[in-house]
Amino acid sequence: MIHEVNVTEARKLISLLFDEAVKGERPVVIVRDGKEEGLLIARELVRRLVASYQLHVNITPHEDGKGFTLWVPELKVVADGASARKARENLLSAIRAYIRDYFEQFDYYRHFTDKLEQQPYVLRLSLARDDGELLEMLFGRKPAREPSSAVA
Amino acid sequence: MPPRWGHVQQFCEIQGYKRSETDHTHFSKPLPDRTTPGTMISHGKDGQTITPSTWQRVWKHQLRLLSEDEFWKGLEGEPVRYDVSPTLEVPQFLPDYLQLFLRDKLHYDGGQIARLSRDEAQVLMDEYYRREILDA
Repeated sequence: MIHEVNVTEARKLISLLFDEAVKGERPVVIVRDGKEEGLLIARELVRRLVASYQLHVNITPHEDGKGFTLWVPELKVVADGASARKARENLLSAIRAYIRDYFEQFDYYRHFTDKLEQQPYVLRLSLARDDGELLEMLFGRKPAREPSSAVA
Repeated sequence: MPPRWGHVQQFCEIQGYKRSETDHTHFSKPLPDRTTPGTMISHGKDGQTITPSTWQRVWKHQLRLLSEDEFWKGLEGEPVRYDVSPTLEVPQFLPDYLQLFLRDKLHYDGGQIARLSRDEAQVLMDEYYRREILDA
């Protein structure tokens, strides 16, 4: 079974417990007053656990042929821009704002089924370390460029 | 005709949406089926007209209104109807923009287009433009 410690014990042993949870990837339950339970867990382990919550971006070009509308159905987030770059930047900004609001308002959102279904997707995106990782989570790995010509 | 973002903000305020702030303004509305449709508006965009493809996402999928007319009624202060019925899998015809894309960009013929579902066509479009978005 999973290792459980109470808060008082955890304070004294935090370095050892951290090693156990992070280096050893063995989560540790920390209990307060015998009721409230928290989990010390490696960030990388959580990233792997939520990796299957794949996000998608539906891309629709504007009628003028220059801009794009980007739609993330899992979160119902939309962004657009007058160019591909602007649309991408606006989407990242909208996603970051969505995640921040989701966590800040979670005491309210937790009462709604549609918001709870989004939780693993929000958690996954929130673990991105930079815009590059965020883009990869949204669009998948960037396709490799095809060689432009054969090398003699 | 698509509205401006300021209209969406007005609609949400008139209809009693809950408001929260980040670097965007967020609106959400609790419905009896324990869901909460909502939208978000980037600061300083009130005067911008919403593009047609974005507008479709806003009124239909974010606000989950029963029809676009509900938005304009709501903006006048009338009660609005939300789409709270269970989602049924109904055949979806390809909208014009997807048909044009398949024909003009991927050179599909009528038969090939007819055999595609909307989701399949959207995946083809997403893949086609993905590189352009990432390389920009």
